Amino acid sequence: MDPGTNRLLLIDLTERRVETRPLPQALFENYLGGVGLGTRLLLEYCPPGVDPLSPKNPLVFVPSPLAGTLIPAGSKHAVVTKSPLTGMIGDSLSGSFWSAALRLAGWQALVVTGAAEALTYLFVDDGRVYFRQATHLAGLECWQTEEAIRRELKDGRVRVATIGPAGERLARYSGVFNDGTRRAGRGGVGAVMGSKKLKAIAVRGTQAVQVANLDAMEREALRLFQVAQGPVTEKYRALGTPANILTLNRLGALPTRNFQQTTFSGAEAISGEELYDKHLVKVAACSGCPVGCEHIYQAGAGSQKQSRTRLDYETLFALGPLCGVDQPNWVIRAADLCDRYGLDTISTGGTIAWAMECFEKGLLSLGDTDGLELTFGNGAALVQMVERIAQRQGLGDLLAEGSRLASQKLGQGSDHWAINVKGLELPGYEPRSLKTMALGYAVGTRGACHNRSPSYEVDMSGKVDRLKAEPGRGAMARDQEDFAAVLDSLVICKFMRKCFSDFYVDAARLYQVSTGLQLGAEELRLAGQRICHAKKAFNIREGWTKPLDWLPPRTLTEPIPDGPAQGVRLTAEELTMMIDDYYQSRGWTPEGLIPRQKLEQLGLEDLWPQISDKGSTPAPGKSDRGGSSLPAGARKPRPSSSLKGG
Amino acid sequence: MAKYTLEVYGVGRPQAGEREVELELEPGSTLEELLAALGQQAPAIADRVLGVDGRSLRPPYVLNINGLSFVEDLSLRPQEGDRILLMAPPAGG
Repeated sequence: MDPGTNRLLLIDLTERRVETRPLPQALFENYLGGVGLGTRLLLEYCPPGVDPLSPKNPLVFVPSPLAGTLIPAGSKHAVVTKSPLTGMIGDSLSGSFWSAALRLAGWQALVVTGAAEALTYLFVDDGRVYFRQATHLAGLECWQTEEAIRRELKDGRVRVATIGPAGERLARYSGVFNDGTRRAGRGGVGAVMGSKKLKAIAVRGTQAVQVANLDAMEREALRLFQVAQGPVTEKYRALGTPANILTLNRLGALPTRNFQQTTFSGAEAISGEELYDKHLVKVAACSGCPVGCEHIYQAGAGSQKQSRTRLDYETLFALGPLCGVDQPNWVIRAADLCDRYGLDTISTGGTIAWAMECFEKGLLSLGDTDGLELTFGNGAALVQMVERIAQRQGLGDLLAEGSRLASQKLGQGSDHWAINVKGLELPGYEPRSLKTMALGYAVGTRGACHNRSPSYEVDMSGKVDRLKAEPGRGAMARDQEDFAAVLDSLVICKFMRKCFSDFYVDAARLYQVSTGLQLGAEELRLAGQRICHAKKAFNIREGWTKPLDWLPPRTLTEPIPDGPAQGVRLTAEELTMMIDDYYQSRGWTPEGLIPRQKLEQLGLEDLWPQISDKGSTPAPGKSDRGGSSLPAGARKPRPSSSLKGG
Repeated sequence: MAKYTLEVYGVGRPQAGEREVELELEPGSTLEELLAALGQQAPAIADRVLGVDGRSLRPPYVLNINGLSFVEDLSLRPQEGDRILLMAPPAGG
């Protein structure tokens, strides 16, 4: 890599100070980029124990090392911070033109610290940074903000990442949106941006991204383009992920009415097939993407007719079956509002579903809801509640805290149906009928997440009995996490993951042609492990304890009541067994802590002082399947250079 | 002859226009033989999901029996009356 272009932009909003710092090559060798590099920068710049909504919590943006190049679907970026929803690491991904613009402006990372006195936006104009007043943008929706800033800067090429009204009001699951409907949605990165009184980051990048081997990159890009337009991505092109609705419903794995059922009587009405036939208006793609998964739907009738937005499976599940809503018009309207206001749709749906159950059980009254019949299936109430969450009005103020904090405040046993892990609401894969996914949810560093732990792929592979908890799932979940960590650090869109014949070999080649760093497949595997351990180390430092690796009470006490998996349970004993198996496969202690020796193996020994006082950490015994030696062919990791003062 | 029902989920469905396909095979047939029969009895679906040998699935398609077990081994012999699910497995991002 050209050391001259590996620069970090450090912006202190309190002092209105801008610094640039070099990013040592070893950081890229060890952490690749995206989530990996972002995690490392978070460890450097986040003081231990900070309140996530305090000025000291840094907000880290890291583009893919492939962003702005010819590599298809590589224009992505990570946003990393300490999550206000979980108190643990919050790493979220978005993509498209803003990601590329950051690299075209010459930056490999952007770290924002401090807080402005009044609402501000940043304009990163290649190598220059301007602090601009944003009080006139207060309350604007995400896309309105993008348009307003482009008008103000008189340049349509300017790309904008912004928060909406929900982020300004510190809704704990608000996101950072860019390029219309792309969003770093999960974990409340938008609330952290709002706490800094930072409305938006506008970027104008006019430089060329230097790549190590342009000829080789052209060959790689062409091959990927061709594969990405073939059968392995046909599902995404044809129906998009909404195709999952009927499939998961048939499998008894579609979380319905706040995880009270696993099949939804209204599944057909909101299926990908139905939406395709009656509501699809356009199929779009991110910058440089040959797949084009983005299906844009429009509500068909009545007052919702003007609503138009992108729906993916997770949004559809969370605002549809999870809330019992089977009318596409209401689901489209609710999703549209989430995008306009800057809310994560999974946590929005998950928290409203919790409130709907509270209402039906009598814990919330009509007085609490200001007259709203907040029952499952009431699409109008769903839409109203999205409005109130974004504005923090009435009950919306409580729900903007997320299901974990809301249930703690309401009490009365409502935590039984607060369906989250570490505070992050579950996505749309039922854990009781997908046992490897259940484990992945429980141990996930950012909470319950199908992206950081795509363990449902194991359950649906035919290699295991998805309904059975058994030893061996620990290593499978571990491998899925490591794989996702590499994917999220390179950063390559998840929908491209089946386009590689041998992922680690092919991905290493992409990294080489782009950066010139001669990392092989084994180095990438090791980087995946290292990144997962760095994330875990951050959590340990911030107070993680073993009880946080657990599932919501409902999923461990109630058998599945319906569908093909009716009667299937996941017991606390089974989950404990799988978690122990996972810790063992990681080479961790029975308490889930990382032994010093393990950190040393991964070149993370400098993190030891940050976590050494967190519980006992005996040396791993014979059960340490993490191994004491590096994989064959792997080089010993280089120590990570400290950035401070660099 | 034995009857098996093939349910189609995901991408094959809107393009092929079929939600279910009834297949008649010799009793005790394997899943591989079932897929071969699909090529003859429902070519619109088969063209999208079968490999060049006409007897296996191209990635990412998978089979599931009765909404419960996913199967990798195509030598498995389903029971008469089983419902075979053909799907691009759920995946998100």
